[in-house]
Amino acid sequence: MKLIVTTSREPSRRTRSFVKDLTSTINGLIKISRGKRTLKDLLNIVHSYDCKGVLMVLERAGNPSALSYYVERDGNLDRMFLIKLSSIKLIREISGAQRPSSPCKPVVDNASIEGDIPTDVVDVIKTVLNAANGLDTRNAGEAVRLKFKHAGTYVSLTFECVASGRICGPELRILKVVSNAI
Amino acid sequence: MPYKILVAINDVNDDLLNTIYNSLKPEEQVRIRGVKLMVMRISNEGRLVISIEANKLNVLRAALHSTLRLIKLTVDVIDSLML
Repeated sequence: MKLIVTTSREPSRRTRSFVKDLTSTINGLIKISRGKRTLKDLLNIVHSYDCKGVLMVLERAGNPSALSYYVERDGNLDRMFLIKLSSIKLIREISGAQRPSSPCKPVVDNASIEGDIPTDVVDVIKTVLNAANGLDTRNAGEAVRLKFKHAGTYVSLTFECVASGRICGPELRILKVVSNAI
Repeated sequence: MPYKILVAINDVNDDLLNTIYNSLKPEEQVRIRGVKLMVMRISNEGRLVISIEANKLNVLRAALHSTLRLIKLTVDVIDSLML
């Protein structure tokens, strides 16, 4: 299932790079330049691409500060989840990281979780990124493992290439998840 | 806007799709009687989606009719050039 990824109005260079990193890592994410588009315009784009929703990268002081996940409800885009970020690391800022040649399918398996991770964070990330449960050995070369690690006040989410074992996406430091689901 | 219609064009030659897209794109700038037109070209899937929004049903009907007529004219011109 496809998901549109966009930014808030007038994004910073770092936010644009973050969106580029995210869409080049995960399969099914479509990058849309925000421009002057309103939420209603984004809803039209959701219909055109036949997507499940919109992931909007919000920013504070030029840095991505939250991911807002919108789905269509009663003909409008309603915010379902808000993923608050403490900070992020771009691919170019992680030593030894590689940019994948093509977007890969996200997977959550036994090796994904290190430490005590709040289950709501894992569930929301799985829902938003449409991650599969468990690794399918036939498509292991085209999969990227989501790695959740408890690190003090935040949960670190990294993307690890299953084939090479190297980091192949941006790092997200998640503070908390706010759910608006009914 | 209360009324909205989506027209999707699939399985058409890529050049023809581009021509239709370019002929309809300037219509996005025109706002008469509250009609809002949006044309989106989805390159990977070879699809063109036209979204028309209007406040009244009769206005939407007229706008849809005009859009379809413009598409037909574009296709006719291409057809005459091919002969």
